[in-house]
Amino acid sequence: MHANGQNEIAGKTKDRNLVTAVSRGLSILSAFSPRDVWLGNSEIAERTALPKPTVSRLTDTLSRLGYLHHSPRRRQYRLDMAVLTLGYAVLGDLDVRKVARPGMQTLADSCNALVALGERERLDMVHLETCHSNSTMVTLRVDTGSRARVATSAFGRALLAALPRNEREQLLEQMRLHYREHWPKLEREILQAVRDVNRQGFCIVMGLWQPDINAVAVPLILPDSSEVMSIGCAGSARYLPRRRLETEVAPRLVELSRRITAELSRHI
Amino acid sequence: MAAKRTRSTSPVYRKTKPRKTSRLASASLTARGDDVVSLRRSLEILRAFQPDDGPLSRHDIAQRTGLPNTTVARLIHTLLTLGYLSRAGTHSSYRPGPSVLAIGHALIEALPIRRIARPLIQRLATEFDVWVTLGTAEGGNMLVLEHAASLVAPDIRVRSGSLLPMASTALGRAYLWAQTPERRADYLVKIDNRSSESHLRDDIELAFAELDRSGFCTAFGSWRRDTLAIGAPIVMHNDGQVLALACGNLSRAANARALTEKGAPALLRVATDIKNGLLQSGSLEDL
Repeated sequence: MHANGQNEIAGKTKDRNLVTAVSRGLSILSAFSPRDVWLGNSEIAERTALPKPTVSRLTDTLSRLGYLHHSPRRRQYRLDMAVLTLGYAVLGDLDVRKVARPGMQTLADSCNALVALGERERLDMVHLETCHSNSTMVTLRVDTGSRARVATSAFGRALLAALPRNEREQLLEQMRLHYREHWPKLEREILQAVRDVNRQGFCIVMGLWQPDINAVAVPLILPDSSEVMSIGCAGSARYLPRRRLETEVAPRLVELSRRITAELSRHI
Repeated sequence: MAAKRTRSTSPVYRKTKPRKTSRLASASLTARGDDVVSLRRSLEILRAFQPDDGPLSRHDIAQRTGLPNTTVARLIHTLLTLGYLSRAGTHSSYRPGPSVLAIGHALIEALPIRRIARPLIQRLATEFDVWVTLGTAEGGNMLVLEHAASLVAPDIRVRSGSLLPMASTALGRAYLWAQTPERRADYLVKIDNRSSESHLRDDIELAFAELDRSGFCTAFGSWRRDTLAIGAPIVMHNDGQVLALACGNLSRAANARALTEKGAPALLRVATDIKNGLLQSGSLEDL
């Protein structure tokens, strides 16, 4: 579940009501995921913290526009094809993906691991590009468009470390509200990860993102927009123990990130 | 027939409705219709982005959508907050954001067609030691809906959600051939205008001739120099939806003749099976 602070915007002016309305409609679309394929209005209301009448009205609108498909038999909705017209194909052409892909694939193949490029979406990382080796294809269900949590993944923590200070502090505050009693421990780990990135350029997360999976990640900063992303490598703990991550994989990731940024600078 | 008396036209309601509604109440009354409009407008903003453009500025977006600048500015802010837009390029340019990728991924994972097609194309892949791709058009490219390969066929790094060029692949050419003349012309104009693809026009016409003749086309070395592929369309006559199915291998591993003589009939059979599977599932109402 996301910390939907946006929906708590108190609408006093018509302006703010409209903005709230848009964020409501979009957060309904975001409620669907590979795990939540079919959702009814009540379930959507639960997930988005929106009033049910609002949800009913907006799901009706979204399905008439072709973004949701309604099954009368199930009395539930699923996403529909128009969702792809919202810019999905544009993202296939993203410069950073094209530039990063060859190096990412080489690294994935030689480390027998998954290499992924991630962008933050509120409290989640969304994988923009994923390169599997032959062995990770089955074990790690990570694909372009899949999500991980900023707080509990190496990808997320590396990105967090490179955020401008204000943004990082706001994000940590949102996490504090979201994770509640789990926060103190997470906060300690995250702050350590931030120190690690500052000191040595990378951070490692073992077994937290998925059981028996270790991961290392580094920040990636896009030269033109200064947007912060991260690039990381994950694989089974058996083949990627901490030492291997530190001595073999991390330096190559740091180098890959540097090369991608340099290459993108040339494109500007 | 007498007009139905709605609450708002009933004299009782009109009489008792207060002149000045509270700010919150009036806000929610306007919000009802307006929020639908705003939602549509924000979706229009996202649809303004096309694959061959780069990042768009606020001005570009306002121009393309016909929306006032202030509206665009406000909606961009919301779209940024929810990850549907990201900042890109220089100051105040934007591109679709991670949430767009995430729902695209969620959709593709959920499509019934994948569940129907998956076993059929896996079997074809294993039987002929090829990779098999099922796709449809999205934004001028072919969107891979499902992809399977035999254990022996090399991994061409194509997966569900991948985008493949329409002009140079057997998949894309089969799709193009099955379009209405108007749609086909639209796509071909775009291809002609792309410097990297305009030289493929002759090959595309040859592919169309193959499809006219035998129901499938070949693409030998056109997408990647080292690949061979054949493709066929799947036309759903009930709703006009067009998909395409292709299979192939690396040139050094495959035999062009074997592919066309043995592989093509099998491909066409699987295309028919997928079509029938889809038609049947339609009547079962959403798997």
